[in-house]
Amino acid sequence: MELPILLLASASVPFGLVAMHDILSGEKKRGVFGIASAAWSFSGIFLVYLGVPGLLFFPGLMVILLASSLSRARRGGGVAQYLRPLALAALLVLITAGLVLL
Amino acid sequence: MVSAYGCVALCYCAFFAMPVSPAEPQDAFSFSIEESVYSSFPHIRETVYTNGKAFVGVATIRTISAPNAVFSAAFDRLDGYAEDYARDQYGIEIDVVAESNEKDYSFSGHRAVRYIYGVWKEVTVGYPPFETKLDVKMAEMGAIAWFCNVDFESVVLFYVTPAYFVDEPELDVLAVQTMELVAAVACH
Repeated sequence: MELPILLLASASVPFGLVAMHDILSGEKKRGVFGIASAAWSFSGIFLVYLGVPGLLFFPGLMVILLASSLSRARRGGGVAQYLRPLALAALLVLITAGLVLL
Repeated sequence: MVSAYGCVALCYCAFFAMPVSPAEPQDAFSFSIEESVYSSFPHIRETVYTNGKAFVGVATIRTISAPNAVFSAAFDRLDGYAEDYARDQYGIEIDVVAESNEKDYSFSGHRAVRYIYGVWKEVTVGYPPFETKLDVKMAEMGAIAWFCNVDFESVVLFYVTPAYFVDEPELDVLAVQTMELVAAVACH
């Protein structure tokens, strides 16, 4: 495996470290979602290297982000808290439809 | 958190600036080769193979996984660009017509996109007052693109082969040589 691919994979590491810090400082749920998205991006690079279509990974990341913002909205706040997950869900539907149509 | 974003941005910048390992044929046959760096960010390297009236150009581009739909979208517009280029650069009026396209073409161990275009020109045959105008196929142009997953590079290959005419059999040989060169292009 060559240096450019390792560089690309390492782009997920800083967010993984931030997520670890979140877990250690008590923000467990937020940290778990952070770890999940960093791990998904990190493994995505190696799976693409092995021949898995790269198209699968962006929608996967969006699903993790959507789950994270839904969980945050359910913890409290008004209707406005649901705007972010709603926007993400709409974007996810658009991306998925776009990928299928293309 | 800001420094985490900074680190990620640095990783991406370094990735896109890393030199590519250019896709090339195992044998250049009798073609002359010209190599150059087209862009440093993202890193793009182009190699041009020429042999008389035949031309093969290979561009290797540093990319994250690129779906074939991206290449198709670009190739759908290629006929218009080629017509404009011929008009602006050489003052020639040609018609470039897409003759076939395959969006899941097996090439060099990858799933590639391949478009084939015919290059047509209107020529006048005969002497006045009996001349007639004919549309003659002057050349065939092909475009093939694929994503090299082992290198995280996209490869775009163009070729132009002169059309075969009965009175110029050597052009037929040249077309065969060009297609052999194209078929031998592979990722690093």
